[in-house]
Amino acid sequence: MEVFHMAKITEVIKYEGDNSTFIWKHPSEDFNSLTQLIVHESQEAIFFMNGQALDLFGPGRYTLDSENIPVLGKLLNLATGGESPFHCEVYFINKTVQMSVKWGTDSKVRYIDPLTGVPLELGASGEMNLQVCDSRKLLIKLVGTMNGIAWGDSREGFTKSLNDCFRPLISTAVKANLTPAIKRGGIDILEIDERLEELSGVLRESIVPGFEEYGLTIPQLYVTTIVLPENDPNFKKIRELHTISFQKKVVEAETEIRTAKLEAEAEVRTAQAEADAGVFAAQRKAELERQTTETEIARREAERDLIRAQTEAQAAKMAGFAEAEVMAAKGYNEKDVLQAEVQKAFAEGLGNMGGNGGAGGGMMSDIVGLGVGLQAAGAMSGQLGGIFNGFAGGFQTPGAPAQAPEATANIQCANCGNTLPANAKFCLECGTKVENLAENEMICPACGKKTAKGKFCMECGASLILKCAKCGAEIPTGAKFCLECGEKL
Amino acid sequence: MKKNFKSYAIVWAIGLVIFNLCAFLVPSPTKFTPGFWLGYGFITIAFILHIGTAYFTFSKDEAKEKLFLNLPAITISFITLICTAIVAAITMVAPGFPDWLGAIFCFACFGLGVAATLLSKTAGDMVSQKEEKIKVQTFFIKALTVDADTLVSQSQIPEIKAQVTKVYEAIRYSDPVSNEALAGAEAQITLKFNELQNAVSENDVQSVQTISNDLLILIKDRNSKCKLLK
Repeated sequence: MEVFHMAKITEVIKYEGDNSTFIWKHPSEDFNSLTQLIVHESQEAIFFMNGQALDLFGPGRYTLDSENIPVLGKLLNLATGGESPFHCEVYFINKTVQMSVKWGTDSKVRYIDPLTGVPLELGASGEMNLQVCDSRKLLIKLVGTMNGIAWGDSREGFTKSLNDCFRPLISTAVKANLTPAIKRGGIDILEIDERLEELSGVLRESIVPGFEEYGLTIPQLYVTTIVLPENDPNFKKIRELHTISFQKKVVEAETEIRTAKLEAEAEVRTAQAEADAGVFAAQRKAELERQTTETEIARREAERDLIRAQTEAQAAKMAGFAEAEVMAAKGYNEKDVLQAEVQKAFAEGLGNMGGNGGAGGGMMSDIVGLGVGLQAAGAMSGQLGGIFNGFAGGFQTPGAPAQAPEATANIQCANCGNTLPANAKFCLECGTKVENLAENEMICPACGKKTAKGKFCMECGASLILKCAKCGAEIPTGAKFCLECGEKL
Repeated sequence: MKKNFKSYAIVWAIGLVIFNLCAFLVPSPTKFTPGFWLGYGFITIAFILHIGTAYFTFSKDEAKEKLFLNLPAITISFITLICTAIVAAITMVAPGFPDWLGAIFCFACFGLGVAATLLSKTAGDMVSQKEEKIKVQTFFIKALTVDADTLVSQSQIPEIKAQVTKVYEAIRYSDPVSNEALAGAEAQITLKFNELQNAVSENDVQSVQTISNDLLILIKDRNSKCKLLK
């Protein structure tokens, strides 16, 4: 081994530290030229020569060129008592992300609750991920001539830690930015855990520049705990107020829910009623159309009947007139006719007893026949005249008094007041079904049902006494204007 | 340096005179024997070589660094002189000491010394060459660092100062060892830096910001390539 040791000309320099160290200096110094440097994928290495930070090496194997010439270098060291004047060293920088590095404020953060004005003291702590972003800067600014640096633990040759170096920065940044962030975000102190991500982002933005100045960066920073002063009377007061406020909100919410439910039900009912009314109106419209059609048909039938009857009556009349003219031409008058009638009747009576009743004499037959015809014509013309008057135009039979038509009792629609024939079953205007009411019965205007005449409806209890909308005076049934103020109803 | 050599030469001459006086005036039974002259010759040659080495070390207007690197050569030649003198003196004065043995010892001593002197000189030259190379390679960044530092001092407006400080830091913590392949990138950096200097002198905040950002990108790019070319 000694032989191999003596034959050793150069060295192999590679990382021999742990993964939690940020920077580590290789113990070998003043090594010879042609020394092999091996740098791992997650590392960088800086070669120092004569006190200068020269080359920065990434992953790979490199041959270093120092000023310590193998073998011959010993001769050069003679002038310095065997010690090499050509100093060289290598620092390894760990580029992995150091996860879950703990941080925390060293003292409480003072906070004034904006709602109540109550002063509180909060604490904040969490974890962060740390990584070297500029090896040279960290090495030159922070490590200096130490053997290395880590976050916490002090190791041999590590005279300080990053935690000690950055604690004031973190503490100040947290204290200066935490409470403004809470106020700016309108965060309720009792619901602060919901907004930890937001607070983490704000604090990270304020802390990172300080770290980057020394070649470090914080990929992620987490505020895991905001310590609330549970035993502080002020905080208890805030919690009580919050509970009261919450209960109030619950009540308001319930009220809103109930109101919304009622409104929804009312809307549903209204929609249902509108739908039913629409259906009913459609039904009534259809019924009305059907009645109109039937009425139209009936009217047309009646017109046809009328025309037919008129024609027949006209024909009978003309026949009667013709017969009368014939009789007049023959020299017979009305008296003769009546006399002939009596005789005919007597003859018929005798005929019935005797036999030959019908064929007795041409004159008697003519007169009887004429009298029958005239009487029939007179009676028929009177009736037809009444019918004809009822339709329009008037039809006057000469000599026959126009008999007025039999007086029919018209009715009024209970809904719109339209005049309807007595036998109408539905209103021609609005299609309302016409109730066959007795004299002491009426239709309630509120519920539309049949009820006895009186002051109140027997079905729904609504008042049956109509009152004027303007003056409030009682209005008799069927009135179109108010008796007191003349308001049109 | 020449003054130093003169002083050294005087000391050397005194040493030589003392040697000669000792050699010729001190009574000895082996005086003027072949062994005597052998030893005397080697010592004299050692003296001459030593003064020669001293001449090449001190006489030229060399920098202190060069002088330092040549010191081992002088040291070795001095040690060679001493060793040769001792061995040669034994050859000169020791009665019954074989001349051939004395010759071998003297020659070995002298030879090793000369070899060591030459090797140390070579080593010194190699180190010197490396240092020259490092100096050339790191000149660009070092010069730029000085210029950037000056620019920071010249900045009067705080916004400009902040931007220029960023540029200074980026240059300061850049890899100082350049490479031929980076000549283009470094030329661009030089041009951009000149623009920055003009913008700072004109107190143009907007231009300073824009140029600084461009410069930072160029420096970062240059450093990445530098790392790649290792």
